[in-house]
Amino acid sequence: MIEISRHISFGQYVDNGSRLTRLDPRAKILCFALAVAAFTYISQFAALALCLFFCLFLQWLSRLPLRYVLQGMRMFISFLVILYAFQVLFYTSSTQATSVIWHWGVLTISWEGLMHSTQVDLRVIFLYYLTSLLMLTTSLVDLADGAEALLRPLRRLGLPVHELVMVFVIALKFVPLLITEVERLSIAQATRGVRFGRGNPWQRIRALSGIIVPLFMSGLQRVEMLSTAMEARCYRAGYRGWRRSKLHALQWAGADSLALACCLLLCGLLVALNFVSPF
Amino acid sequence: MLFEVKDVYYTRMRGTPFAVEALKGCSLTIPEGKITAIVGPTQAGKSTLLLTLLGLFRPSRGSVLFRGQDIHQAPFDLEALRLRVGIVFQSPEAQLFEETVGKDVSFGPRRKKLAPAQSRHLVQESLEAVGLPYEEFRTRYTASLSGGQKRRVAIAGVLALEPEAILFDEPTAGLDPQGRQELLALLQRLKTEHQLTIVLTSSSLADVAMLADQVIVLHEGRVVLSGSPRTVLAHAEELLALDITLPEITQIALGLRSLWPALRCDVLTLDELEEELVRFLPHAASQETQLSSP
Ligand SMILES: Nc1ncnc2c1ncn2[C@@H]1O[C@H](COP(=O)(O)OP(=O)(O)OP(=O)(O)O)[C@@H](O)[C@H]1O
Ligand SMILES: [Mg+2]
Repeated sequence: MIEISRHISFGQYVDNGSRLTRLDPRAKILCFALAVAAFTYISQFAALALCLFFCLFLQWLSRLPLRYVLQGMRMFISFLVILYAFQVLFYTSSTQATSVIWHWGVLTISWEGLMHSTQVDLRVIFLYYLTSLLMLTTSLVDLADGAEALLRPLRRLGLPVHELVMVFVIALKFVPLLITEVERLSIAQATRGVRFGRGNPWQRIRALSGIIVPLFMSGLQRVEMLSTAMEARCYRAGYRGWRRSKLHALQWAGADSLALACCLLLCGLLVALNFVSPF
Repeated sequence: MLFEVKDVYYTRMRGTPFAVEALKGCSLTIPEGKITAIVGPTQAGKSTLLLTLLGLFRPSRGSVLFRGQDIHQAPFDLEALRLRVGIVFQSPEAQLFEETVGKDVSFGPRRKKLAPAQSRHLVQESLEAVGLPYEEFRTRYTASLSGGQKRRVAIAGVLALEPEAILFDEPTAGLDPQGRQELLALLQRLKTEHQLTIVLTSSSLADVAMLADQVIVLHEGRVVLSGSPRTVLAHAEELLALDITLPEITQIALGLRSLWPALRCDVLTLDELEEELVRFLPHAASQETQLSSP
């Protein structure tokens, strides 16, 4: 609890000047959307293997320590493992021809169940990895600018694009803030005799529950501070005849086109591989 | 010795791209019943050191001993240590977590499962010790207090634990001159009346030189100087190079050194400075008598 931020990388941005951080956020978001679509579509192991290579390639490009990224996924993966057990045990096949390995009451382990659950969960892991990598390599401001630029056409339909993106980005930004807040509260309480991560599960939960209420309170205070700060700087989302200018205008470069092209190629490959591969 | 720190290394955010080595081979001792000041420029690792003393951070190398026992070895009870040694954080916002002043100050006594009457008595005593009337502040929301009041409440919350020692992290930062004097007087009182061991950090020697029994100068996670305030002040030029604010008198003495390079600069009071000057101006003393004689 006391050093929890070391173990959670969600929402962090590591500005290490790698090729991925330097890409235009629009290109990154487009590539991300494409890859997510392709990863969701595929189901065969051969295609999943290609996904793995792609992720490893991205990891190399990002120049982030692999251990750090994996550490950030640890909680998610342990959650997934529990889900996996349920998935396998309660798997019901659409075709009746299941090769049962083990059977007890309503619980069944079958080959199909194992294969299918593995495929689904691998996909989920890859998707989570892509999301973490996007956030690790893109600052929130860039992410907001990119998303806003891409969604701009929707403004014609009367959608408040800027406001929506702003809300989304603030929500994202609050995740690391809340994590630091948990850290602060657990240090503050530990110095006055609360034990964390010790004792039986009941004691652990009780120690945690003492954090929840203050966490909400300080979260609300943060919101108030944030809105005051925005107002003090004359933040106006946008009204008629008003255009916000940007300090950093987005610039589409050759590398961005290349990234997009590679991503398209990969998606094509994945879909094709998914068709032809026998398993 | 209350605490002994032996060659401690600690890295903040270890294993992430944000890792910072905050303590690099820090060794020091903190005697019992004295006021120890840990002085260092910003980022020297003072706050990290205090949290390491309480075992909130586990050193990656080296050890921390409390009365000769390693605090990270098996039979040692860290929670008991934290109830016996209190800490007042650098920013009181980081410390308060209950809604009302009364609840926050009584958190410690309630954790210790004291009887309600006893805990109430403690809360009242602690609040009054820091100069906040109990009845008036008991039900105030912590969020509605001023910065200085929050700091007092934070101190009261620690006093209510009835600790044997208190670590203060930059207690005078952000206070007005009067508030600063009051706080330093409180520290002195805690030491003399309650026989508490006090450790405080500061980026300036000005506040602590008169108060501390021992000064430890920290720089980049290492101890560079330590000893009585006088011994440390004798190295005034080195301290200036480290961006540590010196007491006014020392600054004057240092300035006068351009006239008399041999002038001592480990002076704490105006009288001492005068004595020192008289040494260099043999006729000044006689002049003074001449002036005052008619
Ligand atoms: N929560 C944190 N996460 C990562 N690094 C940190 C964190 N807190 C402090 N550090 C780093 O640890 C080092 C030591 O910081 P520390 O807060 O101990 O210094 P300090 O002497 O208390 O400074 P100050 O006088 O400004 O309070 C600094 O380099 C700082 O950047
Ligand atoms: Mg500090």
